[in-house]
This record gives sequence, C-alpha cells and structure tokens, in this order.
Amino acid sequence: MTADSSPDSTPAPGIPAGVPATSRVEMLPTAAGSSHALLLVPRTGDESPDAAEVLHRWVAETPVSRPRHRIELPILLRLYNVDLVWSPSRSAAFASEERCASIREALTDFTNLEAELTAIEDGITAAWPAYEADLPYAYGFSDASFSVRDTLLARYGTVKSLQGRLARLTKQITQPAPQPPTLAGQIGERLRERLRVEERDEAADGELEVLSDHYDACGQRASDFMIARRENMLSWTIIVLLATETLLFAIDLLSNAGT
Amino acid sequence: MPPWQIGIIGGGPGGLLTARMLEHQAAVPPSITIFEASDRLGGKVLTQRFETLPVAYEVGAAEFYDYAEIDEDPLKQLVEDLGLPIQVLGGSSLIHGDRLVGNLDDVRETLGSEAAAALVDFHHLGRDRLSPREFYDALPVPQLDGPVGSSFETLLAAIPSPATRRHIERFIHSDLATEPTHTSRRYGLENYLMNDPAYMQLYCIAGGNEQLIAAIASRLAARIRLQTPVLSVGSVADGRLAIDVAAGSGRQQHLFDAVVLALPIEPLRQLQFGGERLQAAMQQHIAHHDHPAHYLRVSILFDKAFWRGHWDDAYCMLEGFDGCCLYDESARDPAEEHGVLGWLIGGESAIAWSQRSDEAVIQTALDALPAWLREPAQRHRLEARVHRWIGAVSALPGGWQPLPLDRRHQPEPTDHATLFTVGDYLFDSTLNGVHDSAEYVADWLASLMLERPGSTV
Ligand SMILES: Cc1cc2nc3c(=O)[nH]c(=O)nc-3n(C[C@H](O)[C@H](O)[C@H](O)COP(=O)(O)OP(=O)(O)OC[C@H]3O[C@@H](n4cnc5c(N)ncnc54)[C@H](O)[C@@H]3O)c2cc1C
Repeated sequence: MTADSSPDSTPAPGIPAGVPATSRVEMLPTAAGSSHALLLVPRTGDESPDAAEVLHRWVAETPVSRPRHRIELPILLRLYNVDLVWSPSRSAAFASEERCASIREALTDFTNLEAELTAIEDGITAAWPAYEADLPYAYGFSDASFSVRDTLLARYGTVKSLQGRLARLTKQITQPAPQPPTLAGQIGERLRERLRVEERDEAADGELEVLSDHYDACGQRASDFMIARRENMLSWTIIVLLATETLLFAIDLLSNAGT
Repeated sequence: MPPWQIGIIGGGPGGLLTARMLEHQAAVPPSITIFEASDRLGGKVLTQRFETLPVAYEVGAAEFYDYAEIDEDPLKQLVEDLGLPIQVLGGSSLIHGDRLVGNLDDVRETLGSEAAAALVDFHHLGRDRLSPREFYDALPVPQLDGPVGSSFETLLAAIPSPATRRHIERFIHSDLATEPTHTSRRYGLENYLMNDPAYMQLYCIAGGNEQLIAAIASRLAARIRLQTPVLSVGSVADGRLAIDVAAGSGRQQHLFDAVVLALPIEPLRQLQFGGERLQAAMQQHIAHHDHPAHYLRVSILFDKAFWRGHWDDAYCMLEGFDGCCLYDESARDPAEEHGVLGWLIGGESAIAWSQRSDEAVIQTALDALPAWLREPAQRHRLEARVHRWIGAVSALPGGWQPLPLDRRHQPEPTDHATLFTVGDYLFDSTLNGVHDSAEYVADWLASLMLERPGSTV
C-alpha cells in the first residue's frame, strides 16, 4: 500500500453541530491524492439520542460511493462500546478516549487498504476496452501490427504492476485477525466483511489473470513474429550471398574460358 | 446370502449416524433395527417450541464445531450434503458487571493493563503448547497430558493476574460443563482455544439443529422402533447377540449378528448384561468413562429481540452461575420477529440450581443479565422453560488416559467381538466426537461383513 506517512494537506472539515465540544476531527495519513477525515466523539454517557444520526449525516456529506459493488455507504457499525460510521473519505466514531488510538489505527489501515483495492479495480476496468481491441494480437502478429508493439508492452507492464499491487494487498486481506481479539482487529474484520473486500480481491485476481494471460500471449506472438522476421532476413541474406558467390564463380569461369 | 442383522440401541445422533454409515459403507447393506426408548429420535439434539408462540429453541446441543479451517470436517460435510442451512455463530464477549467486554481493549479498560497482558500471555502459552493441528488430530502433547491431578486448575493457577484467571474461568465454564479441577489441562485449554478461529468456528442449523436428525432418519432404510427400551444384552450359545426389549408388561427377545450400544454412560449403567465376562467388561468400561458433567438450560421467549443494536452477537458469556453462556437463539432464524434468549449453565452451578424451582432459576437467570438487558427482559418476557441435564454429558479429568480406539469401541473382544459401543464420551463429549465414534464402529463392522458375509441369525 502506498500511504503517505505525513497527514494530508487537505484542510480538516469542521466539527458538526450537536456533538460534544470535546470532539475533534483528524486527517488520517492516506495515499497521495486522497484524504480521509475522522471525527472522534468521546463518549460521555449523556449523549443526545440523535448523536449517532449527526455522525451519520456528517459522514454522508461526502458523496463517495462504490456503485460497482452496490455497497450502500456510509457503513454503520456497532462494536463493543464503539459506534462507527465509515465512508471512503470520512468516518466518525463514538468511543471512550482510550479507544481513539485503536480506532485511528484500524481506520487508517482499512481506509488505505480499501482505497488501494478500489484503485486496482479502477485500473482493471480501464484495461478492458484495450483488452478487447488487442484480442487479435494474442492470435497473430504481422508487419501491420508492428507499430503497436510498444503500446502492448506498456499495457503488459500496467497489468503486471496491478497484479503485483494486488498480491501485496491480498497478503494483508487474508492475514488472520489478532488473537485474543483486539478492537482494531475487530473493526478491520467487520469493515472488510461489509465492504466485501475478500470477494472483491478474488474477483480482481481473476480479472487480472485473464488480462495477464492475454498480454503474455500477445508478447509471445510478437516475439514469435520478431524471430520469424529475423530468420527471414537471415535467409534472404544467405540467398543474396549465395547468389553473389554463384555470380562471381560464373564470371570467374567465363573469364577463365576466355583465356 | 441373508444380510447381517444389526441391532442399534439408542436413536440419538450416535445410533443414527452409525446406521447411516453402515448403510452407505457396507458392500451388502445390513438389515438394521434401531431401538429407541423414548417416543422420538435425536436424544440430546432436541429443538422445541414454546407454548405461547411456536418459536423454536434448542433444549440440548446448541452449536456444532467447525474444524474445516484446519482439515476435513466430516460432520459439517454431512450437514452440507443433507442440504441443511448453516448459520455461523459469532461472539467473543463476556459481560463483566454491566459492561460488554469483547476484546483486549475492553479487558484493559475493565480489568487493567496487567490483566490484559496476562491474557495475551496465556493465549500465547496456549497456542505454543497446543497447535491447531495437535488439537484437530488429538496428537499427544507431553506438556499437557500430565499425570493424575494435573488438572486445568494447575494451568489457571499459574496466571499471575487473578482477574484474568477469573475471566478465563468464566469464559469457558459452560463449555466444560464442570469445574477446572475436574478437567484435564488439555481439555481446558482446548475449550479456551476454540474461541480462536484458527482452531475452530461455531455454527448451527438455521431453523433448528434437530433438522439434522430428521434429515438422517428420513434417508435410513433401517427399522426404527420407538418407545422400545432395551433392558438387557447378552450372547446366546452360538455367539449371536440377544437383546431383550420391554414389550407390554413382558419382554421380547431379538437376535443379532452384531449390536451397537449407542448410549451415554447413565443409560448404559441401567442396562443388564448377560454372563459374568460381559458384565465385568461393561462395568470396567463404564467405570473408566464415568465422569459426569452437568447442564441446566433456561430458555425465555420475549415479544421482541429488544437487545438488538446493543448486543448483536450470537452468544456471549455472563458472570452469573460462575460463568454461563447466553445465546441469542432468535438470531438463528432470520424471519423470527420474537426474541429468544438461552442460558447454558454448567458444572456445580447446574447441579445446585437444578434442585431449585423453575421460577427461582428463571429469576436468577434474568438477574444475571446486565442492567441494560435486565429491565427490558422483565417487560418483554412471554414464556420461560427450564431443562435439567444432570450427568448427561462427560467431563475429561486430568490424568485420565483414554483407552486405545479398539478397546474403547469393543469392551469385551473375546466372547463378544461383535458388541460395540458408540458415544461422545469416547472422544470429547461433542457431536463431532460421536460422529468419529460412529465412523470407527461402522468401518469396523463393514470390514467384518466383508470377511464373513451372510447372517447367522
Ligand atoms: C445441554 C446440552 C448441550 C450440549 N451442547 C452441545 C453442543 O453445543 N455441541 C456439541 O457438539 N454437543 C453438545 N452436547 C452434547 C451432544 O448432545 C451429544 O454429544 C450427543 O447428543 C450424543 O449423542 P448420543 O447418541 O451418544 O447420545 P444421546 O443424544 O443421549 O442419545 C441416546 C439415545 O438413547 C436413548 N436410550 C437411552 N436408553 C435407552 C435404552 N435402554 N434403550 C433404547 N434407547 C435408549 C435415549 O432416549 C436417546 O435418544 C450437549 C449436550 C447437552 C445435554
């Protein structure tokens, strides 16, 4: 995962009305180009009954969705002594002060993990139209195809890079939660479940395999073509050399016959 | 050639599984008769309904253990093959006072940092001493399989934090169904570690566990004789086995090539055995496995599941009754609008409270709830039931040496080589244990039938 260790420079949104004054908004360290604001509301025990609704509304202000997976956002979670609302760009938690560090840790990990998965999925989606267009090159290569060789190489590189990123992510996704269970582990587990992360990881892996096989095949065809072309040139060179040799021999023979 | 005649005594999971495996495995399916004392099959797998409303709850076995993460799980495979809907059961919390303690952060906050550190140490010690593979294969672990007296209590006593010790004791008390002093180090540790998903997960059959019994029974060709208690077992002159059953005011005798005693210890003790040799062997068998453990179950129907949103797990542990398990049974049926809570009380508490009136037990069960559940529970309560299971399950005491598998299943090999025992008490007192036991005997009988086809009856 490529998360910046420094907090994002995006200014933190304001604290919504209706939450205790001790609440605060923190920017989580996320990958460059994205930002995630976390609203931490320390539990006092005498929160108003609509406090959870306030958190939900605050998180829902940012219109980030995951329509491809039909996942309804924001996600609401109630864990032991912690209420959480999560969306890709904002989250909010109702918890005692002692839990804030665990919550921040879990949300940073998960938000970055989910963002990276989404980025890989976007990369895959973007690769499909080119895949369709490149299908003939997996079957055969000709002089006319020669010009796309570099483009195919670049697409191959993109797919392999996505595959590498996904492999690193899968390691994180399939890692068992710590035991005895910790709050951070439970938050991560529940969010992974709700965002269908394992399913999405498997699906992305399957798609990348198809793309990778395809560009492997294209590479194979291109390399076959190059070898054939080189062999062809070599044959012609030999033919020309032989012809020259024969010609010289004939000239020599004729000149000898003359004398 | 006429098929083997096999008599199975007991129509609980052990008897039914043995019959099913015999019918599937034998080259020539035997002719099987199952004798069941009561008017129903299933034994301690029993799903009942309340009177006020026909809402289901488990009276006996409430959860199945899922080992599929480590290796094959033939019981789960069977449940899936029978097309029964599986529902995973999750929960990791214990209620301390009025607080849900569901993770290490909660332990730290409720019991202190020392207690949390001691819990982590105990967990690591457990994992170091017993790996998931050793747990699954029941491989010997010298550090755990200690001499007589090396009870689970000795492992608990080594925990430096008294709060952690109490926390662990409460956490596993209802699974043990007895006290740590009557439990081997290994069995105690197994019951602790089974909360770690690397060792096992829990599931139930959505809509009621007894569906497993119905599904097995409906696929059996065996003759099933309900309300037919077996009174005695012995051999006749030519080596065949004779079973006497109660018939009206008298007795009726049936002859078999082989007999399977699929009974727990207590009913086994009630049976008469013919001949000194068999009597002595069975006495020895019973004495070796006689480690009674106890359960008491309280099930309460509510007009709604008022706890949802505050507590959403399938179960949690309560401090009351020295640690008991509280199930949200209504979570097992997604269509269920009403709420059902089930308390599973084990060990000495189960004995003590089983002698009290139902109302006293019910009240104490409600009092064991945290304040935020107690008050609404009184308001929403519709009906309550109490079921007593004293001596119905088995403990595994420290220092106890299991017999070799053949000896466990064939108590008297010389003159009664075709008399077998099947039971959960021969393994770990669970449905998986009784499944393993039934499989062992069915395999054995199937090979005997191959060696000597044809009935002598
Ligand atoms: C409260 C409780 C909770 C439990 N929870 C779990 C759990 O969560 N998970 C788990 O894996 N296991 C659990 N168990 C254990 C599980 O129920 C047993 O492992 C299982 O029922 C054993 O099956 P069995 O066939 O050996 O014995 P039983 O189920 O006891 O069946 C024996 C049958 O034999 C019949 N019988 C008795 N005497 C005679 C006679 N003389 N002639 C003919 N028939 C006779 C009985 O009527 C009964 O039907 C629980 C047990 C109890 C009591």
